[in-house]
Amino acid sequence: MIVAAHNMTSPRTTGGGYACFWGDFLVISCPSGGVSCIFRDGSTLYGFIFHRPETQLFGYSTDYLMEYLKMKLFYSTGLYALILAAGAAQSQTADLTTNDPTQIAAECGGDAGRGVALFEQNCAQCHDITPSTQSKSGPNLHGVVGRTMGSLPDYPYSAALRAGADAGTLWDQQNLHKYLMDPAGYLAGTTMQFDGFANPQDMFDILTYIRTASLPPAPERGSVTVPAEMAAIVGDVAYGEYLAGECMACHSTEPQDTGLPAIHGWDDTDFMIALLEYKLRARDNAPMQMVAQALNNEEIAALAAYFGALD
Amino acid sequence: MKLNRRLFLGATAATLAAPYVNAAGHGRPKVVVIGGGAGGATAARYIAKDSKGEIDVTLVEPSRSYYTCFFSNLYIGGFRDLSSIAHSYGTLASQYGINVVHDWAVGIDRDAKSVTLAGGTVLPYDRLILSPGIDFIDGSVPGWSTATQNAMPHAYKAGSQSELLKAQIESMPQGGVFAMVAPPNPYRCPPGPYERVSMVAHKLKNENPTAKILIVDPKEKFSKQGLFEEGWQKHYGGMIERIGPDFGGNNVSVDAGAMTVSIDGSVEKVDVCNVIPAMKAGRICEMAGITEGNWAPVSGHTMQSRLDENIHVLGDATNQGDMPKSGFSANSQAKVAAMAVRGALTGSKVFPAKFSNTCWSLIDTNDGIKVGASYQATDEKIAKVDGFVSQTGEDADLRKATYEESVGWYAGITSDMFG
Repeated sequence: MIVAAHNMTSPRTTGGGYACFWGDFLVISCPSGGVSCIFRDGSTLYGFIFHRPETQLFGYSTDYLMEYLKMKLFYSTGLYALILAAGAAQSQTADLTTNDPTQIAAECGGDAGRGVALFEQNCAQCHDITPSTQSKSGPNLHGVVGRTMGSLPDYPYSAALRAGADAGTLWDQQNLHKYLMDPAGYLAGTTMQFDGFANPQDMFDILTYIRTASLPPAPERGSVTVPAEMAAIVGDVAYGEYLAGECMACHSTEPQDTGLPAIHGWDDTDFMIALLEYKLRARDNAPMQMVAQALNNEEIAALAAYFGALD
Repeated sequence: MKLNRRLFLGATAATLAAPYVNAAGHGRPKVVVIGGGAGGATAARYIAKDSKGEIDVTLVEPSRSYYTCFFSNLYIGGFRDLSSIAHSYGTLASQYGINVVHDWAVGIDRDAKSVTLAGGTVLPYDRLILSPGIDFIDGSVPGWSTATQNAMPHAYKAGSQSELLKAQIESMPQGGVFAMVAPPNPYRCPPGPYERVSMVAHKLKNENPTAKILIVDPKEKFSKQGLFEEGWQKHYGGMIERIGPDFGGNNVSVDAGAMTVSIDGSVEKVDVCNVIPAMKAGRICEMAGITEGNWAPVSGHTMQSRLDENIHVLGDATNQGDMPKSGFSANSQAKVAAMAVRGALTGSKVFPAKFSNTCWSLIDTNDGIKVGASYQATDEKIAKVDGFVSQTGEDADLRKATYEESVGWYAGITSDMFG
């Protein structure tokens, strides 16, 4: 079969599109998540055009596209199958070490909020997800994404999963996708009593939830203190002035809150604690968390020194 | 004292800390900034402020009052009055010693390093900063040109056009049609057209509830699409229809006399037609010879033009990498350019370039959303490092807080630009 990859990109897409022939089928996908499938039955051409622009699909190989089409094309009247297959585009690999819920959601293509409810409905009867090694009828799923198959010491895995464990196969996102869409198809001999998801978006949402639920908890606001080595830094006011350029785009020099808090004239320690709390996600607010995570201890100290010296 | 460039390159690192004057013979080094928007005004202010008077800054801007494009949609929606988005240059002139010249730049002589203004003045420069925003591409929407912009406003350069569009909406017949011809990528303010649709819908819901909004869009997807669509369904259900490229959104022409929009040959009569044409860098960039295609390529480390090291380009006019064309981005880039210019002209310390952007959009009263990212400069481009975006299904308190943040940001950025 011929596989041709076309980069049908628009600015800031996360993957290219594929056009591939599979036997007499021509499947064309584009980064928006849309897919067209044209096939010939005898002398008649049939075409589907389906767009789900909000679906984001990551991490599929061409092999998976083909496998998936074989499994699903004739057995699903839903065009979701084609959408899923269309996701087999080159795309950024997931960073399984990230602690950023927004990045996780982007990598998994799902919504953790929807995932909680779906997990309750589909998984929670058998799987625990709290951080412990207690398993119910299914193994505990806390931290499963990125973990080796069959790795919990106390759980009686099936032979199929133990084989995966021996081979060192990881539950990375690709493998989990295949397993969750068709458990018995992907891992023959699995004892998980589940037929697979009909709607791939549900599966993405659940994975997003599982990854997010596996994050270490953020500290309580008010419990964060300035580490000793950071308290010892003498903040460089000139450096703080340079860094403050970024702050001034939003925070004005007004002494009172404007809809955004005033940041002039704070006590140095309070200022550093506030930024640390954003950095550790003890305080909510996505832009401030992003800003704080890009600052190291010296930079936070410099900013504290600069703003503290102003009226 | 005029330092020979070869001598400078041979100097040790220690002497780099000593200020040196790279001026044409005498006096303070000169910086000319063309364009007094989010990029230019910020750059002028930061250079003047941080050089503590060591650099002579001239800001060339035709408008005496700057109407911010950002929040102009809120004015159209009735959330702001016009004067609240208007800003003068008086503080830049009086508190920062910036020579504000209300004129147009009509020529740049890169060899002589001078700018010629429409009024005849010739301004010499040691470094030039271009921040002219965008101009529209002629013929990109057949039937539309500057000659027809009174019948079919773009309102994509704020001020009179914003007033015009608002007045047209107010004159619509009950049950009439507001059409928007949306632009192709890349264009300034990616969520802008869709915030505008939200603001128009808000206004129509109160004043003309049976009216309809038709978006004709050459693009498949747009910024914060899921969020806007959720909001439109929630607040304005049934009022807004969007025709994308699959159904002719990329094959559009207009007739300003007849007030019709033709979509793939099918003609629709409309009452208001907001045409937002395809865009390119403000024309002064092309005239300066520093564009490649429609935009001016720059190095992210300093915002220097890749075609002339004495010219920096900011904001919408640039081709720089991952940052969107937004006022926030222009303001962020201006500071990097200001630091680089001061370093080059006075030997001041230059730190590694960091950038950020946040775009807030208002969908309805107290329903604000945002998207943002941080960036750093690589040799190839300005590259995104990290980002965030609002989520569908967020609770009302968070959306209200997001809107209030944007109000705070507006106060912050306009002080940052105009002093």
